[in-house]
Amino acid sequence: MKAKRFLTAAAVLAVAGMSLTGCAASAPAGDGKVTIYGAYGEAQAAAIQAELDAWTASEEGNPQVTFTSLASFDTDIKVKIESGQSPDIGVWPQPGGLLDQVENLLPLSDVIDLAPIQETLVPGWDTLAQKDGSIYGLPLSANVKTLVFYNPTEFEKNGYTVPTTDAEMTALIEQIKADGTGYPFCAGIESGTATGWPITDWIEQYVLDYYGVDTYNQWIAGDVKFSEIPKATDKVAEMLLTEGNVNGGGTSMVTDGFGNTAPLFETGGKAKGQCFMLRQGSFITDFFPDAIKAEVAAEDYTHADVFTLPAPEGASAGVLGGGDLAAAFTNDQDVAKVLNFILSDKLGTIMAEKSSFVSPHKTFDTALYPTELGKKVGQAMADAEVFGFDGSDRMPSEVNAEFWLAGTDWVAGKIDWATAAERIQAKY
Amino acid sequence: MGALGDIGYGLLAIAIGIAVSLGAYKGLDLLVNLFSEELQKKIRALGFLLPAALLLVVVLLVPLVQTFYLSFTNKTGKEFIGLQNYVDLFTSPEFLGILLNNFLWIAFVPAITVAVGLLVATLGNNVGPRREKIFKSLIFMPMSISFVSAATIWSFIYVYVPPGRPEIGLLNSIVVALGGQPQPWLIIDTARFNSFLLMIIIIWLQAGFAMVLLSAAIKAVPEETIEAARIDGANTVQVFFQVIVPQIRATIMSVFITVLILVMKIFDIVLAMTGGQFNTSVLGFEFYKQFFLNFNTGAASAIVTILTILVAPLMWIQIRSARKQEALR
Repeated sequence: MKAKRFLTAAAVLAVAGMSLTGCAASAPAGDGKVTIYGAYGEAQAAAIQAELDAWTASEEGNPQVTFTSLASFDTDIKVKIESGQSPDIGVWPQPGGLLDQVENLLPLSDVIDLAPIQETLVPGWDTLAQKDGSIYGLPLSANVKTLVFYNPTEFEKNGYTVPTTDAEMTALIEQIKADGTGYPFCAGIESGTATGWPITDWIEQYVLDYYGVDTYNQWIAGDVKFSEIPKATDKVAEMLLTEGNVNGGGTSMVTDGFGNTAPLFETGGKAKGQCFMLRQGSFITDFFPDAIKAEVAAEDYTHADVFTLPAPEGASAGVLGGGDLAAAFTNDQDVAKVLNFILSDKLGTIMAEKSSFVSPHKTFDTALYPTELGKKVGQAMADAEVFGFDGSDRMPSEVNAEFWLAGTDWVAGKIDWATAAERIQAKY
Repeated sequence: MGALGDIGYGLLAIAIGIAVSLGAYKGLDLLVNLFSEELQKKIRALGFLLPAALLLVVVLLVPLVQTFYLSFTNKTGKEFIGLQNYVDLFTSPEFLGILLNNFLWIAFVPAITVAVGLLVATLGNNVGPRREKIFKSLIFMPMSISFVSAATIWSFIYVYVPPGRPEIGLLNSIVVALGGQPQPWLIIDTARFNSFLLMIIIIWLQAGFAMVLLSAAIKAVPEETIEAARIDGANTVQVFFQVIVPQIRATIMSVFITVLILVMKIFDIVLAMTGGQFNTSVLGFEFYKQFFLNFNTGAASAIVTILTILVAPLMWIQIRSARKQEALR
């Protein structure tokens, strides 16, 4: 009798238990608040907060989202995680740091359905933050680095035309030098403890162009050595380190901040250090002098415009870029809703208007880019055939740090590339 | 949330804290009373020191030992790899360069700081009370700012702009006014010139500290000894070096060692001015780079262990000389 009642009770419990585990398979509801930590600069952080607030208000049941920018993201996020203060979502400016934290993250497929997102993303983005077959990070914003900014007024004044091929670019450089009207390039690489990162962009662009995306990926992984990419480094040396191409040469490059865009808008000629071209990522518009920023915002392109960096003869036209990847720490329905929004091609209505935002989706409505300049940049991303993520952001942090240091020493003329390559390779 | 509210919880925490502390001391007292009368007298003080001693052990000794252990582990701190970190450090030319930098820092900065402090203290003592206050306040002012603020100020002194651009560096402006060419000061590393430029910043910061202590010490020298020396025919310089300095030796040593220990740990100046590049890196900065930028726990622990071993004898000397001073009183 007792045994029978026991068995019945046990059976009831078992069934109840199984149905409960059926319920437990779906994520918990969440508490209506989602925290995101990211690395955005002031303008973009304000813009994404505005967009998230608008999204929260747009639909009943959307949680409140707080976006906080951490000052030195790569260091700070590690501290936050170790002290148990990790956010619900983390937005990394590079896949390397994200992949370092994989043990604290959730595979995105556990939280949301990835298929619709992968359909609209530009090819190449979803493989960046992958480990053991699971995707841990997907992009929400991007920047394009295969761009050259120039001053149309100054070009016209001196009779220069925008180069569309590498040969025309070389000819333009020679002409500028011959005319003595200024310096072909502005190329400051100083950036505090990250001094040297702009030169790594230059080198990566030409590795992508000359050697193709497969060798590019192998080079990042350490299988192709830094000493085995001479075409790229020779090209960079030719364009930047040749006498007269940059004001003050290598010595000036290592002390001049990357955001020092004033010489591009200088009109005093060579005596005042005027330069004609600035190869940099799309975010550099945030560093233009206020007057120029206002002009560009008003779609007045007389003093600042952009063209795509021409690829060398016989090389592929690779688009180099960077971006911010979102990863999930918590799995609940609020986080899922937020991720579904920020990882889709719907993100950017406000961000595109208020900051130098570029969407990594092919289907993003380019009409949303407020300016012609923005449209050109956004189109470059959407049309990318060969897209490469900024290499140094994907290398292990020690290699990346040494790439910056050795690159700086090479530009400053203190070591030759062979020594630099050895130093960097040794950190793998 | 909760019936009590934040203030309530705060008050409760205070009440519990007081109760536990009282209880702990009462408990220790009872424990001590268990011993014989004689022993009680000896160990009562020790007993009451026990909580503080325990805290010190936990907060100071345990991390020390843990870091020492971590210096024998790999990048993540989870695998034991023996002396590999130390071998890697001592066989890398970069690290030997860093040790050289540290050596230069400790060879020059404490001595020059003490000298400058002594000079200002002596001269200040002799210009009359009003001017003394003005000069000494001026020299002491840099002590009120942080190292990073000092770095910001001095970066505008040392900055180099490309030719043709508006000059914003003070040092280069002076050089140009004197007819020279502007120089990229902070990247000149022949004979570690840029490190010396950074040393100037620390001397500027710490001279005030040296001056204050030395000034007090000089004023404490008995007038009679100076007068006696003057009567014997000594001139000012002889009075200074043979009468005053020997009597303030303890203070000079104390200031010297304090600045020395500070210089061994230097980090923020290097971080803010050059980011450790162009051969300016020091042990403190290298630790920061390895731990916070490279996330290499093992290497960072090894560096900081080496630093601790190098600083330990200096602390011992400092404590010994402080004890001697106590004994003299």
